[in-house]
Amino acid sequence: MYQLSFAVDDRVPHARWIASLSDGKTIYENRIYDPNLKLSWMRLKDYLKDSKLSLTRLRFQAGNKTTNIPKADAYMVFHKIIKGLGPFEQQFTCVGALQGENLHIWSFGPDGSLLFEEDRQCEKSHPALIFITSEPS
Amino acid sequence: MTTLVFALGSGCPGADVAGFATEIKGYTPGAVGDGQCLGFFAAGGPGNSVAVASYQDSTYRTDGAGADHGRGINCKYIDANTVLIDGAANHTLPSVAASGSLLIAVSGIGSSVQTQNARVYSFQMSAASGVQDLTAADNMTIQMAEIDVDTAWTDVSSDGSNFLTLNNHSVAADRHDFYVAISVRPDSTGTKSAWGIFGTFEYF
Repeated sequence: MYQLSFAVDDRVPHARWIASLSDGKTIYENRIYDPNLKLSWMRLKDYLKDSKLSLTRLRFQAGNKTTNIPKADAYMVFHKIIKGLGPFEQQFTCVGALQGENLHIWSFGPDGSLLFEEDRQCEKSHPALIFITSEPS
Repeated sequence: MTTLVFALGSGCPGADVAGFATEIKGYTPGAVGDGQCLGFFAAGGPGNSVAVASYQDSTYRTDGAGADHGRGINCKYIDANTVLIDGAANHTLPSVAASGSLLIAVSGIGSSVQTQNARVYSFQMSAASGVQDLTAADNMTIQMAEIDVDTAWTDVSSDGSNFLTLNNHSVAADRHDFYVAISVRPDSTGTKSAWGIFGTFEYF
């Protein structure tokens, strides 16, 4: 039901997040075309909760370039599209690190290049956050 | 592949919301193509100019020359909380009993996702303009409202500092539709063809 990738396989994109778990295993972002299936980040969250494991480290990798996401209280991954009634469209994978209520976000392009960073306020109840130790009570 | 689709809303002639039959593919400056644009006119449609300082009375899918490629639902700004639908009846926002000027759909995701921080902007198209470098549409007032959500219009005619915020969709799905009412007012004479709109959407 989780359909996670524990190694790089044909479902893992060129630019991907990599999560290290408290049991020593590594999970790679994957993309599975199934309208009933959550994105792999949300499936990872479900897996951690059900397995009583935690996330210990998060990286973003494209080719031989790896970005280590700094230590934080929690992490989040989401995707962003910018498209207009005009000749442009941009897509990003956004990786966020939460410290207190500040979410620092790194936005990566499809080739894995870091395009921009931003900070925004984020509630700890956000459904896409994965906490490093345990969920806030 | 995940993308944003712009199309005429349901209920207008020729609309096929599921298949995006009235998709508006986006204007390339200098190009004249099939149904690339959203056009705003006086009553009577293409060829009928909106008077200065008045809001439009018809909305069409057009090409770069302003030709008719399908009539949309006209949503006319009356006052801060009121919209006139197709010239027939005033409605108090947010319930307007119509689908709006434009359908913006997040489509092709291939996964079940929620959305957040969806926004719609207007901008002046030029060689220098872009997502990070926005200028306000020249001599235009552009109002937008999300159907069944917003209780008032938002004036988005700015350098990107004003925008329409769309409702977060917290129920996961593989497609998310947003219906937007758009009403425009020329503030000077002359054809206004070099402005556009764009959306930013986040999903997880």
